[in-house]
Amino acid sequence: MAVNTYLPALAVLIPLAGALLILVLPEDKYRERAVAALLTVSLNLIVVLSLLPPVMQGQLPQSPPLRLLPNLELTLRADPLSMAFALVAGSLWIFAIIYSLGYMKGEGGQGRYFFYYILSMSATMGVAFSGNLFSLYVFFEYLTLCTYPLVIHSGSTEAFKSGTRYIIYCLSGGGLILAAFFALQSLVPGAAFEPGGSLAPFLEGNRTMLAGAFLLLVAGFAVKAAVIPLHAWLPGAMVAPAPVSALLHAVAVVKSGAFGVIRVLYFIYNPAVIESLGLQDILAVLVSLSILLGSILALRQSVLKLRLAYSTIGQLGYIILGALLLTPAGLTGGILHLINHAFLKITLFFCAGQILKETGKSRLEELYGVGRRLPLTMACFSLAGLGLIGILPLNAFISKYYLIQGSLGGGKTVFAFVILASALLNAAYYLPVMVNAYFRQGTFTRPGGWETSPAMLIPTIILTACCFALGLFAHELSIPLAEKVIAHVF
Amino acid sequence: MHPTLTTILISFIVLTPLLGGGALYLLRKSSIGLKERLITVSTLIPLIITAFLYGPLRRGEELQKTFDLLPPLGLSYRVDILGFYMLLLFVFFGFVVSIYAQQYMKGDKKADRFFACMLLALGGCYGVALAGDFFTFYLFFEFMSLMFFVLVIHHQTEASLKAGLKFLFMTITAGVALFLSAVIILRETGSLALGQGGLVTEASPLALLAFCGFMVAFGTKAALVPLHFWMPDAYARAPLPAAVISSAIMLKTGAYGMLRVFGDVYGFSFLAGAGWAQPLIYLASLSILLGSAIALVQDDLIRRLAYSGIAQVGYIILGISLLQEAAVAGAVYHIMAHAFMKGTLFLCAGAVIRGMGTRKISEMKGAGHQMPGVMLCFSAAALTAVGMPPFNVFISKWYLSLGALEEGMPVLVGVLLVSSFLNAAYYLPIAIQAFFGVPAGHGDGQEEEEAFRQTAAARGEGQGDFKAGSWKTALPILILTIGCGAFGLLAVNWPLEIVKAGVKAFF
Amino acid sequence: MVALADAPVIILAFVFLASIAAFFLVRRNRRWGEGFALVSSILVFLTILSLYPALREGGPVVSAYTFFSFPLAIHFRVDHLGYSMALLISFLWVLAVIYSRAYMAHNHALDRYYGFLLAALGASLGIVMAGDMLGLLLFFELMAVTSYVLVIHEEDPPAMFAGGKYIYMAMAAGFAVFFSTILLYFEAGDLAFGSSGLLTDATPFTLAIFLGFLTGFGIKAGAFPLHVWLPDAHPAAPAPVSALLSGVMVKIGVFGLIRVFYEVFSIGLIQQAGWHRITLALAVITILLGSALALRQDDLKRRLAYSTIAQVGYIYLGLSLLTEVALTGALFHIFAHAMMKGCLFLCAGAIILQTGKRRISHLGGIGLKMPLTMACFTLAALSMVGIPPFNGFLSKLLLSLGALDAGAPAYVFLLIISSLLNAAYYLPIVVAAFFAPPGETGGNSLEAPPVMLAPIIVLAAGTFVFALAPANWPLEMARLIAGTMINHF
Repeated sequence: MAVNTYLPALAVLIPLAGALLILVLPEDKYRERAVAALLTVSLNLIVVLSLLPPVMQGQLPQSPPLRLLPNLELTLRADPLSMAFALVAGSLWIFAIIYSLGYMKGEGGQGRYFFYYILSMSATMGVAFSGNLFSLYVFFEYLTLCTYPLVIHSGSTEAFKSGTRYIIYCLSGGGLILAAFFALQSLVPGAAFEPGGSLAPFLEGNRTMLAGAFLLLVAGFAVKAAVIPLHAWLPGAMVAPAPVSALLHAVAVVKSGAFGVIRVLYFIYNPAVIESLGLQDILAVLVSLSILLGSILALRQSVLKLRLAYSTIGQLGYIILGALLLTPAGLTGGILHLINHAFLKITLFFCAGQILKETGKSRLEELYGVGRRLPLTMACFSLAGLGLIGILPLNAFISKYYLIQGSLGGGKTVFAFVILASALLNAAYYLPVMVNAYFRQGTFTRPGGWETSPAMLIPTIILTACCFALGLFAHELSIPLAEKVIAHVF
Repeated sequence: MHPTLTTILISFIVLTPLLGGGALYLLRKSSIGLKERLITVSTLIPLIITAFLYGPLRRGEELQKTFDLLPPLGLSYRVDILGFYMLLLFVFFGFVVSIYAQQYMKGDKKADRFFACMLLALGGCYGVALAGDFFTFYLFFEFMSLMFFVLVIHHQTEASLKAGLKFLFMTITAGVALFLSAVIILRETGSLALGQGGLVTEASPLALLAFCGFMVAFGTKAALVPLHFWMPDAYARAPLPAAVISSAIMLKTGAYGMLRVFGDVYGFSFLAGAGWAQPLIYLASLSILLGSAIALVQDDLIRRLAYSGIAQVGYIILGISLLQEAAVAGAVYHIMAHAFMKGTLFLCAGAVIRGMGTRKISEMKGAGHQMPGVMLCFSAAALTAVGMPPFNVFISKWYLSLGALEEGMPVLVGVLLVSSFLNAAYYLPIAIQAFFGVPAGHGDGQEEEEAFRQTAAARGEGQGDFKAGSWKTALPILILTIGCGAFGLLAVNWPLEIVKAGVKAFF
Repeated sequence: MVALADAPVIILAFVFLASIAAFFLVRRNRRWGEGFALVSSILVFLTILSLYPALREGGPVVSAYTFFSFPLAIHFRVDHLGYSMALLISFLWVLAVIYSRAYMAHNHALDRYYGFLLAALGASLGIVMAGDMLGLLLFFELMAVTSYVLVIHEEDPPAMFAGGKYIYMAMAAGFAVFFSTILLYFEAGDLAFGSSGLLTDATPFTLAIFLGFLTGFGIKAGAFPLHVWLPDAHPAAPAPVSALLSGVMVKIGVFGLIRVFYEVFSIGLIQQAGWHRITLALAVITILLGSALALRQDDLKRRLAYSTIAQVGYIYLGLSLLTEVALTGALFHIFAHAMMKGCLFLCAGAIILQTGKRRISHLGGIGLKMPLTMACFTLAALSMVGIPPFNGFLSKLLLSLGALDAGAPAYVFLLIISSLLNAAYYLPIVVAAFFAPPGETGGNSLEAPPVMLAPIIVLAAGTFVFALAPANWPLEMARLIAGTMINHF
């Protein structure tokens, strides 16, 4: 039931306004900028939260569309899937801002940094609340553009090189989406997101076209989701400051790709159509390869952030695989993993950032014994790493559980094995990091006082606690939302 | 008892060691006396609570509850006779070993970490015994393994790290296999609860897959050949109390899990029909023979004990996989028998290694002259391992044999006897050369002993025989030694009664 | 008065407690400890003796007390067979303890020695008084461990080597008995003695039971081909222990076999299945091999040890002929051989202790220096050869009669050949001892101290007194037992 409200639009506009406010603040107004940034993201989270009750009651709050052309309108609308993504992004942004305040202390270009940081929140909210393919595309490109300055923030040659690669990949991905959008325009003008899509009646006679558009769309979003072989931009983008890597490249950007895939699969197409096109299995196999390859490549990295980046590739594969299973359990697993992985991976990136900030070291073999220098940081890192492996009672366990259920339910036991093999690989690349950090002799000494800035440490600890909470209290937190999405879609 | 009170009490069986471990970490700056008391209390409270559970259990009170935590199933506990038996065993050994460890780890720089992780691992073990479904089981199972990892690499040498990582990867693999199986079972049957009898009713390929997963998981933990690789290294590298905990408690969680899988997930009659357990019989036999044979050629005492453990757990798995009431009873009884026997051997080995300053068996000649009490206990435990009546292992061997005969496999009796003989061949020489063949005061370890005594005297402590050592060494050894044989001599073999009652529920 | 039924338990409890007490007493004060051990063993002997009236009046004494309660509790039961074994055992033990006082005077680790001596007594008594196979197994294993410590008492390399062989064979024996016991329990559901055969069918399964028992008890008895430990272990042990090993402990193996033949199986079953032929064949080989090898030994104690092997063959023979007379002969020979061989080993001990010589070729003229000892040795040796009026003659006579009863006169020849061999290896020692010129100068007497001589003389007397006395009490007992066992069927 559509309800008119300005809240979805506000979710996009508040960060935009906040970003502009930060832009006009003089560079040396650190305190004011911090207050402004925090206020913006908090306000935004309140807006998102206020959307939650109506959505959970089955309403679909919608802002008045902005009509550009006939059949071409920007629509912002909240449905359960939007809420899942928006809530994750909205809450993580607060932590990321606090963390950034600690991390960026003393660094130059803070005004620019926070401007784009908040701006990309607006884009992410736009992605989350997009009501049709066109809006999604627009916010998608918007996200690419406003994260680009963050990637090249350090201004080094390497950063520019990576930034160029990033923007080429993502814009090409966007191009694919746009092409598909045009192709579909003739059948479903506007391509609004409806549960089950609206393509079913046009299936006969348009199979090739539908299949082509489908592949284009999935490929386009898969670029952002860094599915191998479309992943090359992601490791390079790790030159960005840690909070950027954490939020954008582990959470917002890549997740918006995965989110887009889910939108395509369930809101433009639907399981029946896809099955009749017969594309889901081949894609699932490709994603499985991406999962395994990502994990194997992660194993071979000797730089901590790169290892985390490749791990992201593997984990993003889970979400897309879950969606591609086309079963309720699979999709539940995908959505839950979208939430859970966000919390875990941001924790890991935050920890990596703290390590880099405090020790200046990023190569794994330089990090032997770092647990002595950063005990709490490494504790959080270890817990989050264990969580990604799938250890109870951390949250990723639950999403993996649903993913395996989904693959068993579809009679596709092989994907269960993919997930398990990847879990083993996760163990193989996370455990040595932790073990070496704690138990190998290094040159590190114990810290006096705080091991790192509280502005970084405290968000990390709270996020770790959130990972536990999302595991232990999943019934209250993540699962109802996922179930709502399932109810909405199936 | 009021149900809520019971729930709180039962939760504290697991929570006490967990909180104790945490408190130990926080109190690491405080005095040794306080920390030791904390360790003792944290392991004693679970023992006391468990003892009090016996009454309600006998009265048939429902001791189970599901907490609405950790979906999809929720955490749950459930105490039935078998679970109570395992729990009692675990809390008892946890208590005894923690007493011993206090003395053993004295002077170790990282003792605080050791004890904190030991308490956490113990909490995990207790949780496994209390688990009411397989997800809860999995939770504590993994937790326990992770904590044990820290114990393995305690010394932080390259070799111990290697051993530890080997253990860690194998245990994670085990966890993943367990997870897969649990998901399959939940999907196929809609339940993972223990104590419901056979959940699986149809021999589908998925059920078989789950079965294999369970076996990989618990086989790894129980060091069933060919999944035993982690164990000898881990034992040899870990501080001795950790090896005792693993041997007496953690290996048993594997066996216990297997028992639950057989009894509660599939049901013994179902498995008998499906014939899936058949390969396990062969693997267990292989474990028994191979473990014993390899133990024979080890000169490192700890490694010998470790390989012997592989053989002994083979007994347990053999008994379970025979799918026959007497054999299963024998296996379950052997869980206790082996814990007492191997516990004694390990504790004595620790005392001897400290006393003689060597781990090589060939250098332990004449140990009995220096540490008569310890070596007497060792000898008694060695005879237990051989299966002499009236010690416990005799009883387990009896039931295992009876079960094998019921199943029409008398050759397995031969396997058990060959293994017993090998046990004799690798344990008795240790006992013999400790006392005989070397005149008193002329042992090979004499110099080391002297050197040790001097350093020990310099440190103001003794670690020789009971006289020289503290009661914290002597008492655990004595208690466990008595446990090796006492039940056989009592008018009523009380553990055996519990075992029989527990096993009966499956058939 | 103590309830008779509980006597076995009380005796055993007493012995085991006494063994612990002896250990500590000897450690504290040797003389007191030795005295305590002696008094304890005498007390045990007397207590067992005092059971006789009750046994004669009321038949087997079955103890109400049970222990080791797992599927079946172990209970005690003293029947005539067990009783006479117990009496024999405790009697020989008294002598061994007396003898040890002098023999072990300068030895080391006496606390351990006396402690384990008494513990081994307890284990042996436990075996013969056990009321079921499980109890028998329990004490059987216990005896293996306790006697091991006695065997290696000297702790020199030969003793350790012998001990190693012994303990592993004894363990194997225990496992074999365990194997058969569990099979028996599975098949029959009961392990208690006193019935006329727990098993009723001759199947491959029961044959396995039979063979298991035969292996287990055969090892202990030292019968071919499981005798390999015996020639090492018996000589390596201190003389009193050798006497006990040869005199009593090997008999316990035979005792077990008797239980197996007549109470686990039944002679009918054995006969029908023809399994007694296995033991007969073994008996023949054991007798010939033991005697032939004894002939080749120059070490006195080794020669005695091989002789023991041959003599156990006799008992095997009598046992497997399955006639009443032959069984009587076998049972009587248990007694007779205990006396003779006990005496011989104690004499050998005295010689070794006094002269330091172990080799027979060095013993020329020893009779002149140790006249009493060698006189006793002569008596026992003659009994071994089987000359009337010694016990040895009596048992051989009975065995021969039994062989004829069984329609197998060939065994009579076997006995005769063996007797000749016995003569061939015993008499030269005697002849050389008395008639060869002394190898060394010095006419001073090397006679053993009275404490050692007394047991030797008692045993030497035992080799013929009963044969001459009007009431041959051991023979009566053997008859009674054999009669009960054969006619039970």
